[in-house]
Amino acid sequence: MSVNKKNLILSILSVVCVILFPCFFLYLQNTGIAIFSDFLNVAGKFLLVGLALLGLSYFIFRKVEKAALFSNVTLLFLLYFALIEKAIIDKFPMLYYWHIALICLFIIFQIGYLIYNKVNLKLANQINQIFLFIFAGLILFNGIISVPKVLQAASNKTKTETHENVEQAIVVKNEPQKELPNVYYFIFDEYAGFDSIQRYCNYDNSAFFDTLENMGFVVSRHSLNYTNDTYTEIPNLLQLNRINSPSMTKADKQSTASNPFLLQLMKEHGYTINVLDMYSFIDLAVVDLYWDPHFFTTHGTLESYVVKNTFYYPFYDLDGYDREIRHRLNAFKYSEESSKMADSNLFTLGMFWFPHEPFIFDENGNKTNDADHSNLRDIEPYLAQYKYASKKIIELATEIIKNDPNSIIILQSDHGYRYPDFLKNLYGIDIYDMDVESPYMRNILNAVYYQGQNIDIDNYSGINTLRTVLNKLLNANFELIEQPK
Amino acid sequence: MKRIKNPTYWLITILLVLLFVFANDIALAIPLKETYKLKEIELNKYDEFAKDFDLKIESIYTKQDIFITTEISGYALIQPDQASPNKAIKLVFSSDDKRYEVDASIIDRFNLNSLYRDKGIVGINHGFITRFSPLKLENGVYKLYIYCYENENTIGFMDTNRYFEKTYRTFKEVKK
Repeated sequence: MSVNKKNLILSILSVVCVILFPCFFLYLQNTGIAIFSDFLNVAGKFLLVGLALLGLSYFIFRKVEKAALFSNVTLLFLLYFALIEKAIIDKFPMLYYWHIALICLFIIFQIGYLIYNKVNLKLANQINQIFLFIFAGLILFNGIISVPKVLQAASNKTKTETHENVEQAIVVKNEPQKELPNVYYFIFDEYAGFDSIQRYCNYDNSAFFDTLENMGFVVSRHSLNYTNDTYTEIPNLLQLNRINSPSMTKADKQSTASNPFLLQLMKEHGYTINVLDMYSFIDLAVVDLYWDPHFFTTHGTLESYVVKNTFYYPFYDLDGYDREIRHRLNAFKYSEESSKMADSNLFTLGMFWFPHEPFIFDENGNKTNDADHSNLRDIEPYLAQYKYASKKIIELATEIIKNDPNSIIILQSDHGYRYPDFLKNLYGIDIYDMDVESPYMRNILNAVYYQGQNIDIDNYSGINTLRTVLNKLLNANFELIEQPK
Repeated sequence: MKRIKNPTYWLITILLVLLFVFANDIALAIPLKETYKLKEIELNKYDEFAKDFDLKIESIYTKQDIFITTEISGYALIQPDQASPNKAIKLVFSSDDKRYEVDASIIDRFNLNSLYRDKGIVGINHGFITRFSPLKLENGVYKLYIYCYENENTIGFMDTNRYFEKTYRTFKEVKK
């Protein structure tokens, strides 16, 4: 059986372009946010599926041109199944997933029958060329329009390197190593400060802040951070300086936190470094102890976004949210247990992806309905998880003070509740003046327990609060940087 | 007699059409892990056991999966004076013209000790949890009842006074 080499290559290429287009599209649309290794991972899996389908089709059709044509048509149904389902269900709400699957299967079968009996090789090859032209063109087009983003990312990387040089100029007075109190530093992602939660949820969180004060914490209710971007703020907190900026790529922002200045500093002063990192910011090789959650999340990954349009979406990561629940509860447990690890010189850093979405807890800690997990349009799912986070934070602080009353505990968030931002950028609802709202979205949790003593952090940013605590603890001489406006 | 051309083609086509017609019944008959099936019952079934007893619906959770799987948990007990090794609890959804029941798993509830102590309750197997797909329900509003069987002499059927609305895409509690 002779196979025209040109047709063979064209056929395979058309299938490759059709199967890889969704991966390329999402990756290129999210240049700077999506991670290249994630793209390779999902593209590799999709490619295998495409080639397996082509191989299977070849066994039926015995001609690569027809097999490729059938594969391309089938892939359209498989890859864009959720969109087809939505369009049909809008008109016929009584139909369910299985009905749509059967309708697609019926159409695929009819088209396959036509290809087998009625389509000649020349026509099949011409249609494959059209598939190749359209999908390769779309990949190319998306590649070209993402070039400015790539260039901007490269330019921001250069700026970062300059900042890093400035960072080295900070002078720290090294003291001989001595017994120092344990320090617990916890960052809670998207935990709104007093003003932020009042403004967007009309919720008075005085009870939480009063409880902290009664426990011996000094609380700053009106503190702001500099941006409302986690991947800017957390690395900056860990570097004790403004190294990152929101315009940098996610990968570049992440890289500045792998071996941060704060950990180096504490290590120099004889601290054992204990890290709970829900973001994979920290290079675990530079720490002494760390929380190993045996956990992976698919929430918000490139793969999850690509898969959610395909026929496979109902079967993808079925116990994902139960795992997320266990993950967060285990993180609090580990943090509590950290207060029993050492009598002195232990620095525990906990970075919690919480109460940030997914909204998986109601205010009593029960799991929420799936529809609420990524509901950023309504305030209720956030507020419920926020209230539960408040309970967990009080429990955590209570346990640490009970086990280690001579310790220092710093509770912060990276930014406040970004409700106007969600409405505008995710739902296209532009009802807030972002300049007016910006301080509220940057209003953070900022509370310090310094062995029950007073310490002035009133209205300080997260970085300035850390510098103030470290000056007192290590007898260092960090100057305060400019306060956020 | 004229021979049918391409019998395989027609066989598969007819099979797909038949599958489509009975798709709901087939999909809902698939046995899923830890999930019970709703069954339609007579409209007045269990009415003879109507009485009040200790009952609480503690959580209702609906997944947005293709079956709209719903999980309901709580506890129910009719002050048994002896252990109830064969205890059974069913949830019954009732509208004006339809009634459905679904079984529940019985679970031990150690954390209700104070309730047991105060009321002199025997045993701890008074919690329940059930997961089911509500797709079998006809669209409409249903009142939830609980059927509780402790032993042959102690059976109850109680109105929870909670309402649920089922549409093609949702199953949620509503106020009435």
